[in-house]
Amino acid sequence: MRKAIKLICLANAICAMAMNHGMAQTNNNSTSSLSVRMEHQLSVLETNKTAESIQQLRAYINTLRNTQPDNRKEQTRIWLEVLVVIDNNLGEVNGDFTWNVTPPPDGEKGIQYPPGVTPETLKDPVARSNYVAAVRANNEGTQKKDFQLKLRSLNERASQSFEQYLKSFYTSSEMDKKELNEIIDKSKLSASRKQQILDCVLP
Amino acid sequence: MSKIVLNYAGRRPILLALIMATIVLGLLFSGWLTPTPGRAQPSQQNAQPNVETTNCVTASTSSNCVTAGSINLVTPTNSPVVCMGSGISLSASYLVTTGQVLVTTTYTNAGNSGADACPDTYATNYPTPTIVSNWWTAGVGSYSTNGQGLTASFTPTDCGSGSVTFYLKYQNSAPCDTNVQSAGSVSGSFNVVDIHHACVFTTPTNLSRTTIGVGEEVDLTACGAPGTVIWTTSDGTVSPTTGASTTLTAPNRKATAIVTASYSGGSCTLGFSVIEPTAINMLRVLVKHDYNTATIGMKPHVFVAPDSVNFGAVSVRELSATFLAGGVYTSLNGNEHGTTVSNPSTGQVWTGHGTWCVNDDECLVSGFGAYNPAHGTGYAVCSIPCQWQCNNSSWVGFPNTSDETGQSSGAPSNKLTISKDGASWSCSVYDPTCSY
Repeated sequence: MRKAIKLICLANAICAMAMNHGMAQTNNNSTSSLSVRMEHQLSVLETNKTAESIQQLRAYINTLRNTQPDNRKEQTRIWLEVLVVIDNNLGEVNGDFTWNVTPPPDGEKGIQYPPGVTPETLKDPVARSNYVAAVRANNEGTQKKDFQLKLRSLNERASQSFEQYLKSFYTSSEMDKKELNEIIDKSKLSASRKQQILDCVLP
Repeated sequence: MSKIVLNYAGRRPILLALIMATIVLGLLFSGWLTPTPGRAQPSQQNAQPNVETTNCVTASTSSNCVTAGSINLVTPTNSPVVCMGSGISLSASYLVTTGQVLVTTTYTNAGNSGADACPDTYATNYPTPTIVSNWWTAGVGSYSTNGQGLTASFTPTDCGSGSVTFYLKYQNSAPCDTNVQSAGSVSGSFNVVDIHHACVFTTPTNLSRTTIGVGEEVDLTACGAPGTVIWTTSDGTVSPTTGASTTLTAPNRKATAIVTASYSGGSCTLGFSVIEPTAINMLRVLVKHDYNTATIGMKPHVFVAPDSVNFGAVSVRELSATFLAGGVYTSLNGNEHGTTVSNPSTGQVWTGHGTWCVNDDECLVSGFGAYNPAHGTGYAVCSIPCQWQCNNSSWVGFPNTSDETGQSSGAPSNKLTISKDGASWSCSVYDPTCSY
């Protein structure tokens, strides 16, 4: 009899663990858990303007776009926060950077070395110094350009996903428009972005 | 045999008597030894009047439908859930209710009295209705089909929640209503699960491909899956792991990533072949030459091949290498090419080339040739090992080196040529100066 009771207790404990595990998985994708993660993801991008931080934010947006809202208002607010951070960081994609930098001639009438040679190849100190500076500027410019290109790609992904979200979870009813307007008004989005969002739910 | 029985009877006379009595009683109750009376028997059409002494002569026989028979369809008992490409089989059954027909027989000598009386006799028949036709229709999403019978077997080509509806028509025989009757319809349900997939990068334009690049993203939706869907992948990651849709990020190295969508009662899978970059391709866009010198250069776009997938998560770099040079380019001999900055891809695939990288390359051979109008033959070659990495994982070497080559033919053609990774340009020493 005792053994039977022990077995039942064990089975119940396993069931409880399984249920907790299932709930934990579900909660991972809840609006509230996304809200907690959002602050972290956005601060990572704000402090490290690198391709890696965009990659992390991209993974977060993938989760956000595939999560059914259990709190529509909050999930909409999260989307807007993400868009605000993207907008704040979007800039021009300019600069003519190259994979290999062409060094200056190695002094007056010096050898014109091929692009990509090690700085030590240049004997003239001024030429070498200029070359090192050019390589550094090229590297920094490349990283900025890559960041902007990846951010544009992320913006495209986020904008499309948010539009899809609005079309799925908002109607053109006055009540929905009112809710959306309230959340948008509280956000720091640009006027053009605000209008773009409202256009999604207009009939 | 008789001897055995008699022997036995001699020893157990009472037991034998009991056995015999039991047999006789059994036969009596079964009616086998009972004389057949002329009364009507249920379900027998040729009933005889209750006459014992007189032959009754039939005057007429009439049949009246008391209740018509009917058939009722029974709903299928199963609700299958299958993966796209698998067959569905659903069956309906039916219940038959027999009709009731009263057969009345009158006799010419019905009016006689006493022993000659032949009153009307009655018999009841229970006819079974006959099935005239039965068929089914089925549909799921944009797919629909139909067939004969009460078992539907088909292989849908669309996903979602579907249904099969069975129909049946039957007919009673006279004297009941012989019009064809409908048994109505019953429906069964089924689900066809399909993992819809669309590559996130819009180039190459075939977004439904299952061959993808390392680190490439694919949006997945479990169409038709009942209940909560749990996503797993044998390689790479899926985010999130629960819900109707998710996004697969391919692993950083080549693999076969099997994505599984598990739902209540089953699971469906979809395989992706994840491939690695195979080479760097270049496409010349700008050129450089100084009139009357051996200087030749070009700026090519850089691509990560092949072009069948998107390597948007990939960066490439060149490693250290040594220039081998001679003739007019001798001054370049032994120069060290350094390791380059990482050149990330833009995520745009150019057909025939591959995924375009952020930075163009610059190729230039000059040396003292830039200042030496007495040009002659010369060469400069650098075989540069190249590597790629996916999402900042470890660097991986390309199978082949990236060969940058410059050549000067000397007189009489005085042709200069530069080439690297499929891009090349030629000009004459005496062509006008041009620069990027």
